[in-house]
Amino acid sequence: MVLITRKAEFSASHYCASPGLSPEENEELYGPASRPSGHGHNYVLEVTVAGDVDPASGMIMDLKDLKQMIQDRVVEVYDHRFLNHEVPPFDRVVPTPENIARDIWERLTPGVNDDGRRLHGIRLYETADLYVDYFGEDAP
Amino acid sequence: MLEVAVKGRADAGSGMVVSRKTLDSFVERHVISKLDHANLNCDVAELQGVVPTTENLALLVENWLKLAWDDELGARGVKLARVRIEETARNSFEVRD
Repeated sequence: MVLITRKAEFSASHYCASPGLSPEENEELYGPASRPSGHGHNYVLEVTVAGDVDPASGMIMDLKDLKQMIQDRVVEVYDHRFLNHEVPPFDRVVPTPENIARDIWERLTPGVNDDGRRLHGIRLYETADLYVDYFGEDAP
Repeated sequence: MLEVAVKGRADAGSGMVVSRKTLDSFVERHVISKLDHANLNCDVAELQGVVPTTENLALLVENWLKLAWDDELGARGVKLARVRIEETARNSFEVRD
């Protein structure tokens, strides 16, 4: 098995507030990120696919296909959007990087998973100092 | 540059594995406050008699975090997944559970 990783970037705004909490409780939990006017990030996404190397092509999958899938299924959906207002499920799910990584996983899995390959992991940088790795709900 | 990776399920309510404030404070108290602007050879008790290579430093950081982990973070059901130190842009050292 070999892993291959493709990078992409998108810019989006969000705020983090749990619907069951008061504004004061949200400020306590998320800090200034809870303020509903929102703030932006230049997100950096790394998508890793695991698979067998095809003996003829020497590839796990055609990188242009992966690039196009990330563009169509993620970047087109997320880029320059206010996630809470414009991108479901973030009208009801808090758009933390943990939840965004899981949503990206769900958007990419049907296209990526195929004979001999599967989506291995999503790494999402919210800032240079904070990133999330997501390996699916069944990850050990 | 130090990376501390925490592993767990995102809480259904907060959407977070661990709150950034909790993690930042934990690492600040148990690691940064002991190492920042210290002479590693002279000022850190645990490094007396130990060569302060970044390998040894990463193991020490992991140990400090583990010693306090259960008391402060254990109830949240999260685990320490990884400690990684970038010594320079070209050298990094990682301890995994």
